[in-house]
Amino acid sequence: MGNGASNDAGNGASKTMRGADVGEEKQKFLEVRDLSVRYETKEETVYAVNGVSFSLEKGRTLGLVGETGAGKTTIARAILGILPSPPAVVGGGEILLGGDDILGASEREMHDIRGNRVTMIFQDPMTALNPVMTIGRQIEEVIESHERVSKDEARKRAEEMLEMVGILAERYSEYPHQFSGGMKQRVVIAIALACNPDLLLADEPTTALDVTIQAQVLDLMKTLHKKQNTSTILITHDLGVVSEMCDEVAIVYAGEIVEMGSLEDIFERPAHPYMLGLLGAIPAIDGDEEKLSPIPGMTPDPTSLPPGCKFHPRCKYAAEACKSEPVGMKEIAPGHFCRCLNLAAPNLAAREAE
Amino acid sequence: MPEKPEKIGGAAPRERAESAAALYEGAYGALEETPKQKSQFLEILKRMSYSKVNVICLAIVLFFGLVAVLAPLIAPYGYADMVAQPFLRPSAAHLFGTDNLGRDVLSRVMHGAKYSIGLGLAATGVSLAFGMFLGAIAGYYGGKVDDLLMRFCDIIQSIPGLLLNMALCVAFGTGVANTIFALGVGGIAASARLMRSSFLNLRKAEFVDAARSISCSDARIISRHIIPNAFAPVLVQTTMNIGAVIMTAAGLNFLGLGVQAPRPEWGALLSGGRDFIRKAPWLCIFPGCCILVLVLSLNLVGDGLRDAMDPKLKK
Amino acid sequence: MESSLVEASGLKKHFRTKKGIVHAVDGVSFGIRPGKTMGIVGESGCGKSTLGRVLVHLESNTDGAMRFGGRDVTALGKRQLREFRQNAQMIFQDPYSSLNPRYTVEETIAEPLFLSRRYSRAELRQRTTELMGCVGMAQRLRASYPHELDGGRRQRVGIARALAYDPKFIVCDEPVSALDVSIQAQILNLLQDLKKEKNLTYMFITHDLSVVRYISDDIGVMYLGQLVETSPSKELFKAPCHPYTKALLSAIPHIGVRRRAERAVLKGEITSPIDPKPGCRFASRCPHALGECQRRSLALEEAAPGHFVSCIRAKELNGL
Repeated sequence: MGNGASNDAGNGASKTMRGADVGEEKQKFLEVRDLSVRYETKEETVYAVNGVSFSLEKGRTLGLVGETGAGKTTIARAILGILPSPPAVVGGGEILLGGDDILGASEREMHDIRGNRVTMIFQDPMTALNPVMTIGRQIEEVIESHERVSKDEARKRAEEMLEMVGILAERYSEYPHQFSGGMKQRVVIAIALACNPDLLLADEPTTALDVTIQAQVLDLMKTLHKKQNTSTILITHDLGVVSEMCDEVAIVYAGEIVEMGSLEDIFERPAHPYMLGLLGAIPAIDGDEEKLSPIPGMTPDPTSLPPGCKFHPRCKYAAEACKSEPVGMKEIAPGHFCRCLNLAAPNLAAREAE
Repeated sequence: MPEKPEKIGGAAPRERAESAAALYEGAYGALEETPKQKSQFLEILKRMSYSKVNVICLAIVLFFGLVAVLAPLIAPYGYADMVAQPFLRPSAAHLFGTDNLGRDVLSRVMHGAKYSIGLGLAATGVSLAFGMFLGAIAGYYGGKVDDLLMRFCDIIQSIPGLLLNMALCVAFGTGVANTIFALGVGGIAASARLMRSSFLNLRKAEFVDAARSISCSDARIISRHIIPNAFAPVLVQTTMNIGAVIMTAAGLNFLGLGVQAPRPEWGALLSGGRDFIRKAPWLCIFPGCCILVLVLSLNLVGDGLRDAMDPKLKK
Repeated sequence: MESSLVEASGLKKHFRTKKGIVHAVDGVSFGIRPGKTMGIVGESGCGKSTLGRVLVHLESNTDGAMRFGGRDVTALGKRQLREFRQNAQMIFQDPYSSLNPRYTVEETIAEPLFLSRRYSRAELRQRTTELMGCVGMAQRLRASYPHELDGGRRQRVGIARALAYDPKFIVCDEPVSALDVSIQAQILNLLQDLKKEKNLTYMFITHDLSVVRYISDDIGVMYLGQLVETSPSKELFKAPCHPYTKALLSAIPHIGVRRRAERAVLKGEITSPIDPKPGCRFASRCPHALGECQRRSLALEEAAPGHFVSCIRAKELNGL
């Protein structure tokens, strides 16, 4: 009962969104519709993603923001077709890449899609590289396995990729352990972009790095993005990184998108109590708050999610209805969606805060 | 997803009541829900029980253990009693037949369980006790002590296992106590290494630093903070080691070293039956099968334990 | 100026490794006034955690002196150390590894009390109950094991353990960096409340500049084992003097739509703290470095009242 209805609502939302986009005649090539993924073990079932719908236009950057266990990485893994199964079970939904549903694609088809059309940058650069292969060879390998090119051609391309991410081509035959963390992440980015993918999934690409190195890597990603016009999904928990990198933002909580819109919508007119809470919980770098206002409680146990709005146990605006009724996505302004029954209250609070 | 709403519905009333109260619980907004209280031992058993193989193997091990303990009570005859004609085939009266002296093979195998399992446990105990002690010292203090002890282990481990056991048996003579010692020494190095690597990892753990910062003594840190956490891999190793020791003991006895006749250790039974293997194969088949089944079960239980205790392997 | 509760002068900690001597902490001097919070910021590998560990005697120092409440605590005998630790405690970074997985919440919190041998069994229980209340933990979690708790609650247990001796001074080593944003705020508020309530003095080690700004009265910026700038918190963010501090501040991604135009992105990465060369350690990455920077040895100099910088061009670059 509860979830079915909220899924429908999610679907409806993505339909409206599509409608709006067609009007603007933009090329939209990734669409995720009503995606549900759960992890089933003998002991318990983790409901990781519960009816997530969003779409992405060519050349845009979407930020998926959420806390640990919100289901962000699962969404990315589902798009790339690398969900560990078992225990992962896709409960339903569609992932359309350029109009083809890739959620049901065979392993063979996915192999062509991965690397060629969709690639991923993983969180930890330390473990993403093969320690016994030179970094140049690792880039070459990706190029060779996806494109018919001669060895010399592959090597030339690999060297170009290295220079593009700001590593001297002389370091071609060095091994990963000879690189520092930030440099390794550059190599990982070079590998991910080697085949000119249409879609780049970046899963917390700078979380393991220091601030100054993070700034370097973010700058690099921005430059490359401008050059290659790759559509990007950036997964992160850091609202600062999102503000810097993204055009659109989706806030993920307990496996659902609770708010979605343009960067301006989300940061200047936040509507969902969770997003408002997050903004209040972060000490601002230029603010002088005496006291933070944390969100009480903690993220719900994904094996037994609360009924109704998943955020209601922590929400100070929760009404009786929030505790039982499923909550659908509503378009509160053009292109700005929010999953909340009690929209009046938080908006009021936001205005008060300003 | 038809099953999901039910699940949510089921958990709802408690959750809701809890959270409403908890929201205003304290000045710091701690939202509490009661975690499931479970003993870790039961938790491990529960996880092991998901695999039928584990359950069966555990049952087999327990069965053998029980037989070994109760052998004097439940065995039909004593192990040295000549109770019937020699070389009787297995029958209702003598399930496993009789041997060349007319002794009941079933009774001998049952009493033999006591010796075989006893040897396995005792020898493993010896290697564990010494190994853990040495490994703990090497791992906790490090430096020169560590180097010295590890070189000692290198020396022990560079001698082929069976050769070392035989040499020790020959040097100390036969008999139960000496066999235990001979078998135990070989395992010291392996358990010392295992313990040392656990200690090295745990010594760096923050909770050990935390213990130091509240002025815990070294002895207390080792006994209360490190050993209980280093125990899981040791337990797995122990289970597997018992199987290996039973095999080695059988091998030694088969070669005529180790526990001596008329004590019916399984290896000795095999050795005794060897001469009559064409005429009376049951003399070897039954003890041989017992060794096979018990050792296999122990190894599988060890594997199951490792999986059950390692949260990372949890599927 | 008020006298300091904790004072370090020329503190050094060197580790001998196969590659050479690691100068993890290399001549650090500062003072923390009672009831104040000193924040130490820096990137990974700058020695900030080592500094904290040296201060609570989890590591011995190689050189320099430490004073606590006016008394010299650089070298302590066993009994003095025990006494010192009643006053100086530590909250650890990783709430997942800082609690013994085989101890219940109650056992963890009660252990320091038990070790002090001052309490009867009933008093132990009573005191544990109080401490759990202090850190906002429900009593029904007494018998829980750490693996049953989330990160925020584990960190509360760690805090309760540190409070058990009723210390005056607590070193907080990245206590919130392993936590999610919403939980992080809960813990930061708890630390602030406890400070007021119990008149605690903190040294707060972190890599997160927004957190350090929120919680600290004074801030020290560390780079490769040395303090390059110390200043009252507000002043540091308003008028940073050291080129490294400036780069650090401008590297933080800003939350919100306003995007800043220029940013001083640092070139290169933190160099190795193994056998460092004399002169300014930041010189190789510094956009304003002169040949002289590599040669002249540096010390913290007062650039403004209470604001110390270790840069030979500080005055010139900041128009002071």
